[in-house]
Amino acid sequence: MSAQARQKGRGPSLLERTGFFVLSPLVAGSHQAAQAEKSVAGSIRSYFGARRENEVLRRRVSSLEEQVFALRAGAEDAAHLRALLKLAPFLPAVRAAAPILSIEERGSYRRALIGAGADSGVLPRSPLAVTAGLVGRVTSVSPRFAKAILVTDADSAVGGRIARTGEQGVVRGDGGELRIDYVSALADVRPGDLVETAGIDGIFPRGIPIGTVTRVTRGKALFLAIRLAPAAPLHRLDDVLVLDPAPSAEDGRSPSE
Amino acid sequence: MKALRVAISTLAAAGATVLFASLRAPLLSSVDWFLLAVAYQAASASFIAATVGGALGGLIEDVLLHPLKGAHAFAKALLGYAFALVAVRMVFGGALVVAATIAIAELANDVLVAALGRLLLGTRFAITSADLGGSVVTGAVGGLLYWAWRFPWKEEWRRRQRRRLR
Repeated sequence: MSAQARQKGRGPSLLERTGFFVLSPLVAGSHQAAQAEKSVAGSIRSYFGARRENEVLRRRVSSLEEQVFALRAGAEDAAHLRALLKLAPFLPAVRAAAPILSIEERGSYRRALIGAGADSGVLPRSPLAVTAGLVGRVTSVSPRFAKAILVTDADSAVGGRIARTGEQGVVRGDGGELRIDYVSALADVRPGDLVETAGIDGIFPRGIPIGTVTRVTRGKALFLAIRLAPAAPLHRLDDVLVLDPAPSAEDGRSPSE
Repeated sequence: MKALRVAISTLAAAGATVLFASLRAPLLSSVDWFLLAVAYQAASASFIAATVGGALGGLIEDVLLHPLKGAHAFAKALLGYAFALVAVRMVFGGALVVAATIAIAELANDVLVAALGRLLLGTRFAITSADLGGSVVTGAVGGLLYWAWRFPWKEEWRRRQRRRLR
């Protein structure tokens, strides 16, 4: 155990690789059993609630169609400007969609085991997100599984920015909520402000929502103490999107390359 | 026989952990199935089985999720030994006492893991309300399983049969 204190941040150990290899069939089998149960329960539920669900979905589709109509023109403009400025898109490509197999919520640890690994193209440092926002990042990868650290873990740190003002800081977890550190006491931050990834840490691409400001108080020294509510529903995650890791400074490439 | 019991209960705990987490069953996914497996192994009052079983279960837990390999293994091995000690020295008076013992053991497990993380990885030491809730749920499920294990199912079935024949 003590040897790992010095090796913090390295790739999967031999123990981890062997453990994953041995446990793969058991983990995969248990997950498949859970999926089968879910599918049977879902079939029964949908059989009885199909008509009502159909009506709700119809209304939702028509509302989404209205939104698409309004957004289409803006998206075309943005794509045109991007092409003119030769900018790369903000959001990276999705490598895989993976189910969450297990989450450890103990003390200030918030870790997850996801059901996709190197065989599905998952890389160490790959950011994890859902449509609502950032979930975390992959820490180690085996052929069929990957371990991830969630944004609310006390060891997690993400470069963030207040979307409204552009003020940057470091978003850290504390086991439940989030806080953003190193935002100047002179900055204009209000409850309800969206905080998104700043794309400055070489891991997370810019523009993924992290959370919403819930409380702003005067912190220590020259900084504000800002609390955030996570944007992603971390207590009820089913599947996550595994994104392309942002090219790091060590790769010698700029994010637009 | 004891080795088989250790292996089966540990693998069952690993299966239950993934199964209930995949099902998103909020209460059952907060149960520490590995600790229940250790308690079951210690019920035979074998120090070696309980300690080795605890270390094995904890190691699986570490490999699957925890950043510090050996933290759960150490905590569960220690708790396995403690469970075996309790099983040898004390006579349990029912499911409620078993539930309370398991809940306390689960809390001790959380404290040990958090302390090891603080010492070796520099992680913040924290015991949250979720940990306390997890301890209570693990204790309750442990007590329920103990009750089901000790309940004279065969006699009860025979009694019902006799009643039906009358």
